[in-house]
Amino acid sequence: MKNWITNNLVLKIVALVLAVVTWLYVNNELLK
Amino acid sequence: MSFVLWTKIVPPLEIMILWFVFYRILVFFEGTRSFQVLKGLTVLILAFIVSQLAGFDTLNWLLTKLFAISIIAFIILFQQEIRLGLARLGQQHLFNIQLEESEIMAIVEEITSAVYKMQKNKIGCLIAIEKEDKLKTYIESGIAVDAKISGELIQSIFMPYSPLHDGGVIVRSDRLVAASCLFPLSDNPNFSKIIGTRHRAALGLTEQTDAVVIMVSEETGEISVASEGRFIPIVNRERLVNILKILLVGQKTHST
Repeated sequence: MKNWITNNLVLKIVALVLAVVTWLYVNNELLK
Repeated sequence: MSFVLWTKIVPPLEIMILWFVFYRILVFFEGTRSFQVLKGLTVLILAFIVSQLAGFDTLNWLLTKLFAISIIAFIILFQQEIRLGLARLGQQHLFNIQLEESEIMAIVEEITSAVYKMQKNKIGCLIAIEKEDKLKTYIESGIAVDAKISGELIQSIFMPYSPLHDGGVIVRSDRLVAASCLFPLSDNPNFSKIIGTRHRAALGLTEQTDAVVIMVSEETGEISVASEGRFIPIVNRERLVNILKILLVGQKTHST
């Protein structure tokens, strides 16, 4: 379990940041 | 489930799906030439979103144009990688014959004994073992052999004066299907300057497919195993057997 989290941690964090930012951006656009 | 509850679940669910898609894209391109470009595109996307949120209209206009051009340039420059990725996504196997662990270990034993005998005589070799991804394209680039695998057969093929010793051999199930096969060379900027052509070929094949490649260096007699675009150092015979066991038995070898 620990290995699954720490493996490729940097890529996982970058992907998470991208996912959150994209979601926020798209939602912002949809609300306009 | 009530509507209110569902509307609360949807945002995290969407973020999780987006996270998974972005993560798979990053993993797919990691270690390849396109990864550097992908990093640049990511920065561009983030800058574009930030400029939009902050209301920087001029910057936003410039980044929108730049982003559109970057996407087209990325598709043109990396069409091969994108094509391979899509091919992997749609890969389906209709007929799979699963080998027993003992049969796989017998093949590993034959390969290991051949590899160590070749190492002793400093004979270079390149052996690719097919797993889920089909190596048909690379088999067609070589000479068909289709013989039951044995250590002696591998050694004969890689003898320096053998007409088949150039290129690599491909093992599918318990058969050596082709020799003198040409593998794609890796463009990985971390390796390309320090390794030879045989190693680059091993790396290239494992970057594009899930094959496992075993090679012996002609210059140093060093044995290496390549998998998923990475080299695994081999220090002794037991280590080689263990690594091959993990890579092949761990997910079971398939053959058509």
